[in-house]
Amino acid sequence: MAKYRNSVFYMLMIALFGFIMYWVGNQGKFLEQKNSSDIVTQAVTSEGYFQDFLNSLQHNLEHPLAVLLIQIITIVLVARFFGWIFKKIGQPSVIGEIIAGIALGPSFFGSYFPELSAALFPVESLGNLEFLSQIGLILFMFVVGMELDLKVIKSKANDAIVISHLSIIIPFTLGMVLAYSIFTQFAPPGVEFLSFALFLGIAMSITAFPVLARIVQERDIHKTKLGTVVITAAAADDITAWCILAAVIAIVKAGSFISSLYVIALAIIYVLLMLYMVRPFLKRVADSSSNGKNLTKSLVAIFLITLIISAYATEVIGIHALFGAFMTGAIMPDNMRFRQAFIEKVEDVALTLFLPLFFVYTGLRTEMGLINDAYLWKITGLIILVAVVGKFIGSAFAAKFVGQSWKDSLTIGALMNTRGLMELVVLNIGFDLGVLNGEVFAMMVIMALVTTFMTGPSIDIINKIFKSSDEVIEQVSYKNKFKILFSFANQAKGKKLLLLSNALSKKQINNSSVTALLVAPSDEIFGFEDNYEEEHLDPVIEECQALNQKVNTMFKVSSDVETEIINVANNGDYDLLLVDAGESIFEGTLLGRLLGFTTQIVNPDRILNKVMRKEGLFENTPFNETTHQITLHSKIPTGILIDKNLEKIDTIIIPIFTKDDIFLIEYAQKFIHNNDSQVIIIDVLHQVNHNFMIKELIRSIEQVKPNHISVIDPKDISPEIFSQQDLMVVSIESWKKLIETRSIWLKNIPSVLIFKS
Amino acid sequence: MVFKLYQKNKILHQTMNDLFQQSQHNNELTFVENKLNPHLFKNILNSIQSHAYQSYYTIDKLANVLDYVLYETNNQFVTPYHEMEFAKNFIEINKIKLSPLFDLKSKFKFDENDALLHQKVLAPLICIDLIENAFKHADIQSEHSFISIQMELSHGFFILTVSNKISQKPPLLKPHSGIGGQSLETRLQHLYFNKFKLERVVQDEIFNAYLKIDLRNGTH
Repeated sequence: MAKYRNSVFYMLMIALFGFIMYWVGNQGKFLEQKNSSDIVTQAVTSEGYFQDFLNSLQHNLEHPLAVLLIQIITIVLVARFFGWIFKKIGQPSVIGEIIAGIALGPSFFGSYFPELSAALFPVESLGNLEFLSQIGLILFMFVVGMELDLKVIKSKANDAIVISHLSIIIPFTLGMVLAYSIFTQFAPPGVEFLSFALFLGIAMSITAFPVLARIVQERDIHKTKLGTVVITAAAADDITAWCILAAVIAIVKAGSFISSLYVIALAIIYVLLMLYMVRPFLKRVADSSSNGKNLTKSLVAIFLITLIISAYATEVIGIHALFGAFMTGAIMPDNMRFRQAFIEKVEDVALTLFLPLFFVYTGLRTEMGLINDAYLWKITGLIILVAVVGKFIGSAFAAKFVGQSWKDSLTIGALMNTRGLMELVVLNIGFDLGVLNGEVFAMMVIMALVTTFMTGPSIDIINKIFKSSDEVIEQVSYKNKFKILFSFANQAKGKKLLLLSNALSKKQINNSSVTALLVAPSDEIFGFEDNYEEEHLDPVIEECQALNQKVNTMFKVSSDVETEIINVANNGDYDLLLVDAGESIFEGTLLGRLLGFTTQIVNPDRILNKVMRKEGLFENTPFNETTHQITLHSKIPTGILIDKNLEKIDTIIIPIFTKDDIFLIEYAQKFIHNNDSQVIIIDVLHQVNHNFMIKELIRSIEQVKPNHISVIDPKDISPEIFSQQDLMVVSIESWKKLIETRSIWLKNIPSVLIFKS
Repeated sequence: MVFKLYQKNKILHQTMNDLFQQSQHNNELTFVENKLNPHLFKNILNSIQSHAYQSYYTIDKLANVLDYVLYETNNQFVTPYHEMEFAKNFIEINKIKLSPLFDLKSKFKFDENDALLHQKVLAPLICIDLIENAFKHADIQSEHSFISIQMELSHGFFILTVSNKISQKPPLLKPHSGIGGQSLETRLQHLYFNKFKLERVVQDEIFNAYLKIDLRNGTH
């Protein structure tokens, strides 16, 4: 009965209030008639209900908001598509997005589908588009500013600063010379020569820091010396160029150099204010609010308002809002983690939604049709030539002068020549100010495209020409290193494996490398988002610093963790794979799930319990079975750690069963050499005594390092000796034997490292 | 009188006692001496045994190398497999110079299914110069010293990489030096024309050598 009570009540109420509404509606009609007859209802003018609907639909379609929304949809889709194409051919997607903008503009879409273009981009809608794209740019410049690490510039100064400043002054000068030669034909009427020349100069000397940084990252040179130099130089370039641009804008707006001095003075006051008032304030806000991990809404609000105020201030002063946005980004608190979190928050919307609008807005103003004869194309060629000579050769020359190799110098030149979207920003400002006319604007857009486009191929060419000994060194020294890969799923185990790796390699600084591999199960990563990696890797990295161990980190997401680990190990030319017997191999694997071997069975504690006979022991322990999987598929030597509070590796015990176990001595050698460990070898089946190879190997070690290795007969030891050791090293076959025979040793066993050769 | 006698007796007793103690001490001494000698011998024996074994072991490897030199290297070309076996022996021989704890890494990566592995395509003793140099010039006494040798055959390329730590000191003038490297280059040039690449670079006190030979499509 109670079941239906609610339904009955619900229906009754709907019926009752429905009736009341209907009644009020009907009564209201009388009010209409009473009021007056001049209310023209839609019905009077209409030619039928369906036509009504069509009309209102038409009306809605032309509504500014609807137009804007359909524009955004088109733009984002087209931009993504072009970006994707260019990514496929190995170019930065930015170029694709810029080209998408031009394609949607009068140069292509407008000239081939004029009606459609007029419907999609009506002139009166451009204002909306402009403002939205401006907001996008403000956010974008904020991100660009944040990506700059001022500390790096301060610390790495000299070389990079020289390169950076020379790489501005040379193209700037050339740009002014170019302006001198084309001023009479191409300057818009009424524009002073100084403004025109300064603008061409600044347009020539721009480097797109974001594009450059991305290229450097994609080519994997950001961690090399070259990478740091070029990134620092580009960052310094960015700051310098934007300061000059602010000055240029001030001069252009004020009309003459002298009157611009007031604006520049104001701008300097603004910069000082930002540096010495706002920056400490922001830092305190960030410090007090949290540990820098979680950004609360109010925190974000404070920073965004600072951004807008700053942009507003610079716009009012007369040096463009973008400078203010850039400045705010640059003075954000130094904590890179905090910045990263903030960048991620802003970047997605700014880059995927707003930035394409800017490209299209630029594209709509770019009329390729204006460049319609050979002479104009020649001038375009000249502009490109000047730009490339100035920036490419200028920075290469500077780099060579400060002592870079030819190859690195040319690479720096090629990278600095990337102008990308920063150039477009500058050009748009120039166009808005009326310093550039449509023709020059179009030419310069082409120049920006060409110089950005040529970066990748020219680096390839440079690499090909100088396929130098540098690479050979890197290749050789990498190949010849003793490379340890350890894979972990939880940080506690990661630390233990790191300790092991360290003990096996710490004295071979130049000749070993340790890589930490973290494979996240892909269903887990969704919940954890981006900080999964940091959360798990950071404690291990901290431990590395404590141990003074250099370590490379690798992070992967996979639905099949076990296979992923095996693939990395097999394909990466590693010499040793270390895994933990617990989660990292078994948890969440397909096989594990199929067979029901999840943590409840394959859990190190359970294995130990079984081993110590606290639980029943089966003929085939799951450990054997699953380890079989890894050992079967990994083609490199593999060590599996069963951790029992491993904290130091000073004493090691190695039982030797057969002569095949001789390879364990190699690891003993490494432990002794690198970690000064003391090794006790148990000659279980009297193999050592009868095998000259093993016997001599041990004896020779004893000769050079007495008191670090000894051979003991199993009769002479009590089982307790095991619990006094830090680690037992054993081959996988012997381990199986130990378990099969239910050896009494297992009772007191310390942490175990099981090797498969 | 009695006192004197007592005195005398006491002295006698004392002397006796002293004598006894002395003899006991002597006994102990001879015992230790007797024990010390064989122990010393045992230690020395250990070393000699070790040396003897190592000598035998090295001679054995040397015999293998001699076999190779006698019976294989007369041909213009040998199989990569034989050359690899030779390199292994050669490295073992050179180990006699090194401490057993020395950081020596040698790695051989040969695909068993590679058709070229058992074809006579490789010039004999092509790897000897680079490997020998590593052992000759490695600064084996310095703390972070190492020698690392890797040989591989993959996709028709024979690749040998050798790196070792070298001393910062400028090389001393020796009567017979500086020929090997040059002759290797000439030999490669003669045998493989431009289908090889040989690089030798020193960086941060580490000497790196890299040899890559293209073995596809036979030889010249």
